[in-house]
Amino acid sequence: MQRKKLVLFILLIVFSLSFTIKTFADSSISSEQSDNIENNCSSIKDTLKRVQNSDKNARVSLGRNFQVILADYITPLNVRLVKNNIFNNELANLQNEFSELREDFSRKYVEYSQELELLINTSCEESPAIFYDRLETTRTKRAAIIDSAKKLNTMIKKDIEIVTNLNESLGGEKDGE
Amino acid sequence: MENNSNEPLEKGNKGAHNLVILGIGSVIIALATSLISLYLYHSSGDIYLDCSLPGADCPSARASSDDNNREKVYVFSDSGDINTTVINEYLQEIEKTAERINNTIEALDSDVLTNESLGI
Repeated sequence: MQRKKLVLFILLIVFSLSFTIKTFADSSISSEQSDNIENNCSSIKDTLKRVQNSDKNARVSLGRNFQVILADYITPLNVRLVKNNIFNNELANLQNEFSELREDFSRKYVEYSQELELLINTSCEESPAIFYDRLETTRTKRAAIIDSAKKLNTMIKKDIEIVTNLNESLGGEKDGE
Repeated sequence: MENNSNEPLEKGNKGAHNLVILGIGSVIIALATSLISLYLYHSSGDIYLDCSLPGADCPSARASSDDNNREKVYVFSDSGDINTTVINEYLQEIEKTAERINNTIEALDSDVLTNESLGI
C-alpha cells in the first residue's frame, strides 16, 4: 500500500513537471512565431521535405566524389610515389586525415538526417515550441555537415598544392640533369 | 497388438508436432533477422541515402550510372613512373572533381532552414 502511494506521488510530480517544462518550452519562441508555425505548418513541412531530398542528393554526390578523390587520386598517387622511392610525409598524412574526415562527414550526415526526420514527424500544430526547438537543433547539425564538407574541400586544395610543389621540384630535378 | 497399432499414430503425432515447431521457429528466425536488418539499415544511415525509396529523387545518382563506365572515368594508376607529364595529368583530373565538389558545397551552403525561408 505504501509502495502504491509512493508510485502515485512520483507520478504526480512527473505530471506537474511536464506542465512546467511545457511552460518553459513555450517561452523559447514568441507568440507570433508560434502562430506562424501553427498556421503555416503544411508549407513548412513541404519545405522541410524538399530540403531533405535536395540534401540527400547533395550527400550522394559529395559522398561519391570524396570517395573518388580518396580511392582514385590520393591513395594511388601515394602508392606510386612510394614505388618510385619518393617519400612525402605531407601526402601520407593528408591521406589519413582525409579518410578520417570523410568518416566524420558520413557520421554527421546520419545525425543530421535523424534530426531532420524527427523534426518532420513532429506535429507543428500541436507543439510549435517543441517543433521550433528541434528546428534549431537541425540547423546546428546541418551547419556541422557543411563545415565538415568544407574541411574536406580544403584538404583537396591542400593536396593539389602539395602535388603542384612536387611537380615543380620534379621539373627542377629534370632541368638539373 | 494394440500397442503396435498405436505406435505409428504416436509417431505421426510427434512428426506433426515437430513440423509445427519447425514452422513457428522458422517464422521467429525470419522475423528476428528482418528486425536486425532494419535496425542496421536505420542506424548505419543508409536509409537516408537510399535513392530507391518512394518519393526519393537523386539526379546525381542517375548521373553516376554513366560514371560507372570505367572507360570514361579517370583513375590514377598506382604503378608506373613519376614525372611531370603524369603529375600534370593528375592535377588536371583532380581539379575537375574538386570543382564538382565545390559547386555542390556552394549549393548546400544556403539559408534553407532560416525562419524567413520557412515562413516562421
